[in-house]
Amino acid sequence: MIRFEKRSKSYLFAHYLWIVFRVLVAGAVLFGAIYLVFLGLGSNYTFHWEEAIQFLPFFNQGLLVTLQIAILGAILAVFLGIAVALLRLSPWGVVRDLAGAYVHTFRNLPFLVVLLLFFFGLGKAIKILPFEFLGQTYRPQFIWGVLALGVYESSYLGETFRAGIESVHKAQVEAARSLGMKYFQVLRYVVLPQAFRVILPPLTGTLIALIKESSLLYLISVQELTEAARQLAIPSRPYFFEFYTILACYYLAMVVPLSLLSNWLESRLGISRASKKVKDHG
Amino acid sequence: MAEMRVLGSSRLMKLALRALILVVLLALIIFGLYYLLSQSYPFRWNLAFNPKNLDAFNEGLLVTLQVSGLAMIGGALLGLLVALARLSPFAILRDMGMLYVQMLRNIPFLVFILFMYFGVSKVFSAGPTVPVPLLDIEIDSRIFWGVIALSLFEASFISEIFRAGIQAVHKTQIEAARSLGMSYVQSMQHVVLPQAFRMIIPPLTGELIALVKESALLMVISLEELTLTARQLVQQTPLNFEFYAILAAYYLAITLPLSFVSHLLERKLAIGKAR
Repeated sequence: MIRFEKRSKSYLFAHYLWIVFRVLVAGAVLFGAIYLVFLGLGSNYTFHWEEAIQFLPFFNQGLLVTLQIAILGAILAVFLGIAVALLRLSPWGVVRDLAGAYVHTFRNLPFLVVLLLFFFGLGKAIKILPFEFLGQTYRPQFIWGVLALGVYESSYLGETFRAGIESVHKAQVEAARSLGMKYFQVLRYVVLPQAFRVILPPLTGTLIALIKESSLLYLISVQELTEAARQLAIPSRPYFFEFYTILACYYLAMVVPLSLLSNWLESRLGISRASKKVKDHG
Repeated sequence: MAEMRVLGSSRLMKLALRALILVVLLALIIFGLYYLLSQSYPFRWNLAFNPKNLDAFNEGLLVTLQVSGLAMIGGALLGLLVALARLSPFAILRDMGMLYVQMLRNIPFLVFILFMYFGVSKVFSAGPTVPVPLLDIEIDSRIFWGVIALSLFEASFISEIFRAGIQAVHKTQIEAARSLGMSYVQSMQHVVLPQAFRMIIPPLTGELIALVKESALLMVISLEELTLTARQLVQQTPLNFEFYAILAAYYLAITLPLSFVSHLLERKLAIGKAR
């Protein structure tokens, strides 16, 4: 029998191998059970995986658009979120309340409603012309979609950033101010570097939510991943189950690594420990 | 005592003043934006506020509330089962629960509802209605699959809330209950769950808000809830902005009170925290 020392490389390798094995077994049992339920309920559906897999290049095109939307939306959401967080922490009560109204309105609406309001409501009043960038034409649908996504997620990110900034003890800000630093210097050199570790895990969480919500953009006919699957699933190609399973796998492939990263960051940055320390000193 | 009451009323005055300032400022901003928009878009609110349209909205609201309520019950029951599986002593059950949660948490609800309604229901070769074996009734298949998809999806989120709540009860309490001769089910029922309940309720209200918001997506399977009602009205009369603004107001009327209750419960049920 081989004895492993904990934390040694071979121990970790065997540990991960064991986890993979367990997940595979659990998956096999779970899907086997679901399949048996299908059979038990008298389903005589024939699966057409070979036909469905031929359309993967079409899915890949959609994937590219989804990634573009997610990245642009995330950049917009981060900048708006920082602005909202700073407004919510401003010394003037009125500004705080206004920023609060912004956050609470968007947090309590479905993204679908915000999207419809932006594209069909505001889009009627404010005309955006399609433009070309790097040899690709961007339609107003795309731009409104990214705008709606960025604004909606900024209401969540604003709260994340605010919590991060508030987690830095007030005494630190006062100490920095008493050393003669200006407001933005304090923010840059004292508060943000410490707030960063609290902010990072929920930030990845919001990025995940953003990727998931970008699927709704198919409703304003943006050619992204979900729209690709919808265009494939027509009565003359009735492999609906297969197409939507592939679609789900694409999203899982994008999101699960991010979700694992978020977990890893959370354990790595040791947030609970850090915040406890701050509290103890206070 | 009298002093305190005076102090309280002055605080109330301050709060009222703050709210008033906020409302006035918001009104100013909204009217400013409204004026700018009205330069290029003719608003016709009187047409939108036709009683017939509002009746349609109210019917949609009823469907949204029904579906959300049913899905919340289904999601909570299934979520409890998944949470217990994730905390069970058998590794295979734990792993299966983990897989279930991770898979559903990481796909968009839109993809899941499309998968369930257009994929899975095709596998069962479903018709327009779904028979319920024991009750001997037929349910509209859109409502059936909508509620099923919403409950399955929410169960993955709710199970995490339950798990956190159950784990927050200290292990020694279970050990004490077991040493008193209680069975696993008894110790869960009488010792763990009542305590976990306090921790579960506030995030559960938050999840209810998320559920109401997610139910808007059921319009893609042509279930006539609030959002689809608004879209149908827009197709009849092209008052885009007006109808979608009313739609937003309807959702806020459901979610803002819930969000307030959640906030209140969080403060009320806060355990071991000095206020």
